[in-house]
Amino acid sequence: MDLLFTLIKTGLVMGLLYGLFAYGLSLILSVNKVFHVAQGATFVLSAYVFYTLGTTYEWPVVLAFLGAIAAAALIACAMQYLIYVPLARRDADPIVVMVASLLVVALAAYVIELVWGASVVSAAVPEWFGWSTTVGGIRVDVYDLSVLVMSLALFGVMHWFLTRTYAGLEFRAVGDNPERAQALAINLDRVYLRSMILGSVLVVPAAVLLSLKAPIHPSMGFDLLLKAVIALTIGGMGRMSGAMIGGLLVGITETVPLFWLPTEWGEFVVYIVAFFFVLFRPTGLVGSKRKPRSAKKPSDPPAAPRGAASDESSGSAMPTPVS
Amino acid sequence: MRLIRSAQIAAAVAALTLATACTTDSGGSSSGTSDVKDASGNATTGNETYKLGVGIPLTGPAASYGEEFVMATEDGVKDANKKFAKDGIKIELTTADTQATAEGGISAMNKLGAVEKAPAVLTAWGPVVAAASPVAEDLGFALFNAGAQSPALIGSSPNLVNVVPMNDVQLSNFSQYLVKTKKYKKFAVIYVDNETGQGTSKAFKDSVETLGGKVVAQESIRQDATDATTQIAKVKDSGADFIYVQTLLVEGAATMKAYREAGLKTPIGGYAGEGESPVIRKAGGDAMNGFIYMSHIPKDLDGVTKLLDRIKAEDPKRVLTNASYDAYFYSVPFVYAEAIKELRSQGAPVTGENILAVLRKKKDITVPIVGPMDMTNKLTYVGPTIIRQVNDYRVDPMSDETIDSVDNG
Amino acid sequence: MSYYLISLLGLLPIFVILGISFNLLLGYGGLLSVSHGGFFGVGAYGTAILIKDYQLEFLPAVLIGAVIAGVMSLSVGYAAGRLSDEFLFIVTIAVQVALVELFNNLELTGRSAGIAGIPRPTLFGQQLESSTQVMMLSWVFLAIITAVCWRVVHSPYGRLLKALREDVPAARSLGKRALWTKVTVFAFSSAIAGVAGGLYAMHTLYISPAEFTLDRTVEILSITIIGGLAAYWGPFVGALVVLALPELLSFANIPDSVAGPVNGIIYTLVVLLILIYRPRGVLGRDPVKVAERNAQRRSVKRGGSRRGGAGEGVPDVDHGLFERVVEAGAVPEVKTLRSEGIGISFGGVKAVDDVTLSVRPGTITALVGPNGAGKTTVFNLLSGALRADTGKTFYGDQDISRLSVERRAQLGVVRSFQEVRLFEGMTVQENIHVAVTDIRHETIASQFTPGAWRGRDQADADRAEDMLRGLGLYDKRHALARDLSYAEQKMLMMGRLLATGASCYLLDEPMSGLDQAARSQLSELLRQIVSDGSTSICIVEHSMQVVREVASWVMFLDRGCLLTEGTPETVMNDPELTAIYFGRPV
Repeated sequence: MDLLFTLIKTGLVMGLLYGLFAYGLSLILSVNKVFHVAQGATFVLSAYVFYTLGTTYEWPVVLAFLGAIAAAALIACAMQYLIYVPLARRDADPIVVMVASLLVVALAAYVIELVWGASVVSAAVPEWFGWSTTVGGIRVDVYDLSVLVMSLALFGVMHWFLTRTYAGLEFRAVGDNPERAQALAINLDRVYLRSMILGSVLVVPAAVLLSLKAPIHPSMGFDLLLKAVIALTIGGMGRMSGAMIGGLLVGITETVPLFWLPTEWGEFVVYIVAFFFVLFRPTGLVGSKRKPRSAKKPSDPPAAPRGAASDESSGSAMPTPVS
Repeated sequence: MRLIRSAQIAAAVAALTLATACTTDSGGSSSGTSDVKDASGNATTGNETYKLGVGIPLTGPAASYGEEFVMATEDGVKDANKKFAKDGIKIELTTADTQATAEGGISAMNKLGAVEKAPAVLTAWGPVVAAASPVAEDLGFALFNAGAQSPALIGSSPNLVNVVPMNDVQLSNFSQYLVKTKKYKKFAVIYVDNETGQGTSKAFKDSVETLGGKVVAQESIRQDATDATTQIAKVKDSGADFIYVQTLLVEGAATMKAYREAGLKTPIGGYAGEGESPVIRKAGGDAMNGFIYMSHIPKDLDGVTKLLDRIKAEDPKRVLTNASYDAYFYSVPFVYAEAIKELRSQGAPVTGENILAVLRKKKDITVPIVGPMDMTNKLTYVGPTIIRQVNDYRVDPMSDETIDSVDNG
Repeated sequence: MSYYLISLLGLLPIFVILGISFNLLLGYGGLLSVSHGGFFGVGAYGTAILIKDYQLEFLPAVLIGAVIAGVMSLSVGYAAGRLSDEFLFIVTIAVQVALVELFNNLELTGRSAGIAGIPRPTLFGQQLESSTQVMMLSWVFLAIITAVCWRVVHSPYGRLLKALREDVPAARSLGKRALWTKVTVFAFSSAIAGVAGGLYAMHTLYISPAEFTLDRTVEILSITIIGGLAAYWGPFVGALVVLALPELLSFANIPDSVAGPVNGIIYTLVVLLILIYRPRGVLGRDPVKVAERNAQRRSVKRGGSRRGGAGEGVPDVDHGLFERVVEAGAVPEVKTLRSEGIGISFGGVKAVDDVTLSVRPGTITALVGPNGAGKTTVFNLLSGALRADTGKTFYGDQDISRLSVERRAQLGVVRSFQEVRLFEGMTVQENIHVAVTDIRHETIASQFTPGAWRGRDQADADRAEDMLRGLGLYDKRHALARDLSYAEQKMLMMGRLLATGASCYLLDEPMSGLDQAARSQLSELLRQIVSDGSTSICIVEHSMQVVREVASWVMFLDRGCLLTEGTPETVMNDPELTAIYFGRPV
């Protein structure tokens, strides 16, 4: 029985980490309408910045963490101005944007190999991070608790931000309908940049926590990115709660079946479950009831004066509730 | 317009194929013959430079190993050139990036074999060796393998020379020690889910079971996985007496960390890649003390230490990960030079085929650090197995205790 | 040197084939699938195992491998038919990873170690001896596949694929088979990737799961996008960049210690710059220019005989447009669309309740009612977009209650949407051309029948051009549909419906947003359509003005129930109904 409980706990912690990774993706997807795959690059670069500040220069963990956040914000600005804005100006297909974003992940790995070298390194771990206790036969340590606390805290803060603050409402307005938001005198460029920065910064906790737990290397994070994307879809695209619940679901699916199955089939199970899940419940767990058929590429409807208004309006392009 | 363009493309393609078809076909070789060919009998005397290709990952996840191996090989070339200067032999290194993948390997091998025209190429990594063998046969160069230890490679190609001990002998020595000396009965295996991991796990099971032991759990872990709690929990559940671990760095660190955190008292061990890796030792911490590993490190530990110190001096920032392999990379230029020397004395041209012919016959090649290297049996070197134990995870792996050794020579 | 070049030249056609087959999916079909690398692997493993363990010749082995890849891709094709883009993306990622896990874990595929020592292939009893011969084999396959795919892309099938990329519901409303077409394109494309896999196994003589991972798929994606989405020769350029650029860089004089990362950085930066400065890809072109060029080429081929047509004054709508359509189709039977007690509820609320109505031939029937009365829902029920909870729908004598949108459209019941829903990224002519084409000519197999070579499609194109003359859009036939004015778009939409040769038209607010002139033009067209006595039209309309102008029969709907029906005069003059319509005091 211990084994099963351990598996469940491991799955939950993994799942929360996937969710933590997915928050930023989710925000950027819902506001900027970009599948920001380059989040993987932000992840690994901020991990290396954390390593350099915290381990090489021996700064305190908190300062190194802030440094990593600053780095993530810088990367976000660079991404926005060097990649996304030029592509948007040339009216690039969303797929082209995604491939460009993927290339940035590869570029980041090469840059790291050049600057930091290709070797696997481990960050210095502060003493208190090694603390652990046993609850009901299950070992819980600072890493587990940090992931849990970070995940819940960020979820709460983001929820508050998006529903209670003016800046957050701007985000949601732009996510819902950029044209209308613009008509309300919201500066689109500013909101896009802000959401890119905020979304990128959101991945830093995951990067820092993972660097404290495991060695870091240039190609880390891609697997996490993939799982986060799956989590996002299973949970419901563009929702914070979806990211978290989806993450938990992926984590559990990944570990618990291993109670019965050989470990080498773990990955296969996750992806096959995801396949059937998406096929038969494409709106995600917390998704709105929208007909899968109604999805159509976003396009500006010609400015047709709608008679006295219409009956049921047909499904909108992409559901974008943020919260 | 478009028709014209497609016609142009078609014409260009046809011309290209024709051109290549006419100019080549010289690559084909008659492998399998074992005698030195075209020997004039008059010894070659003038100074000459011979190329040694090195196909190693310089980018990608395996690049950190690759860089270290290149440095070891470079040192070997420097020393070999000093030693064989009087014989008029100078070896020149030329590298190509394999990314540790089959496709990258083929491309690198083609470049080294056909463009650089190196008669011998040094490489490592199972997929690369497997994919490079047909290229070596086509182009007729000798393929030195100093890293991949899968027994399936022995004799898999007439052009393949394994200069590193294969792990079938190693595993059988190691399981002998575990079953006979240590009296362990039930074993669990945690292996990285790649070619080497799967192969070794199977080989370990086979050799343990022929000795009357039993493998009660075989758990795989993904390469670069950051959490091994699941694997350790399952192994714990299996009630094994001994855990054998066969992983690379990141998931190896995760495994040892999970082992430490689970507070498992079951003895644990593995191969040199784990025992010697500072990253894994650090992750395992106290739990790493007592870790038993089999190593193919040459007996001349002082020689190895000197080599490692030298590499560190050249690149002080580098954390060395695989001490036991470096010496074999270091030795290849010497083996190559010995073969060249033999060919020159017979007045035979230095071709891959001739190098192979020499190695198939010559039993008395001796190189620094590794010592005598006899590769006449299936072009594979059989080295000693040393079983070592970590007593203090913080010290340099070179100071680990040697608790047993089997001389297979 | 030459051997090195041969090895690269042997890899190049394989990558081009992958790019071409992927372009079918992504470029022409707009289907973002990330599992191509996996199906490439299925073909490679299939071929390798059959050749190594069963001593098959190359051709049967690679064909079986391709068929296996195609069959396995049916799952993804089915998903593509059901899901929208972003979900298809995820599903295909899942399939990709799952395939690699299978290669990794199955004994059949040699697990992680893969399959080594694959013998070179035999072809018609002839053993291929060198990599040069294998390389030439690959080029031959590339030539064949290029020709076959060219044919498929430039055929009614390819056009339908593009239409589905633009707007699936609109295509289905014209009677086009969306699911079937997507499933077949996936199977076709994956089978070609399987062929590429077979060639790859012969090229490397060693395969392992690592060759077919997500990285490979991303590489194929890059090839296609660098070359240009839907640019037919794009993959040639893309493959050259992806393959040759890193090789060229490896010859650059960069110190060994940093060569790897520096090469990687240069390579990714170059590709990024290509994408940023040419997001359409190196060979990607403006679709308008492509259409114009194609038209020019066609007319040159036919000796410019029709070129005079462009100069003619644009004929008016009453220039016998409809006659042409009727003459094109079969003599229509007279059929009535009627419903018997249909109803549907959403979450417990009855949106449409027990509605019995009939749309009679030869008349223009208007469906009116206040907002939220359920008019569009009735349309959705009649056209098959929604399935009724209760009641039945008949067309003529046939019960069509359980038929899908496209089946009903094929029987002659077509609908328009409140939004125009043109195939916006396609030209005006293509919009009509798609609708004109018979669905039997829109399969892959039918592109290789004698009829296809005898200019069947050209006849359709001519018919489309004739219709455009009638609609007054001939001059703009090469413009993209999205660049038309709103009135023109509405005309085009009508034209597209007419081109299907249907006999019952359900038009959702056809007049909204049109000015007086355009409205009377359209009204005229509608009257003409029903003047043959066998065609029926039903419109949803808000403007009483319009209803009076065009309708000969009015049905009044409120809260999902049919309140009354009659001639426009009687219904419009009923004070009670007027009160309901303009908001009653409750």
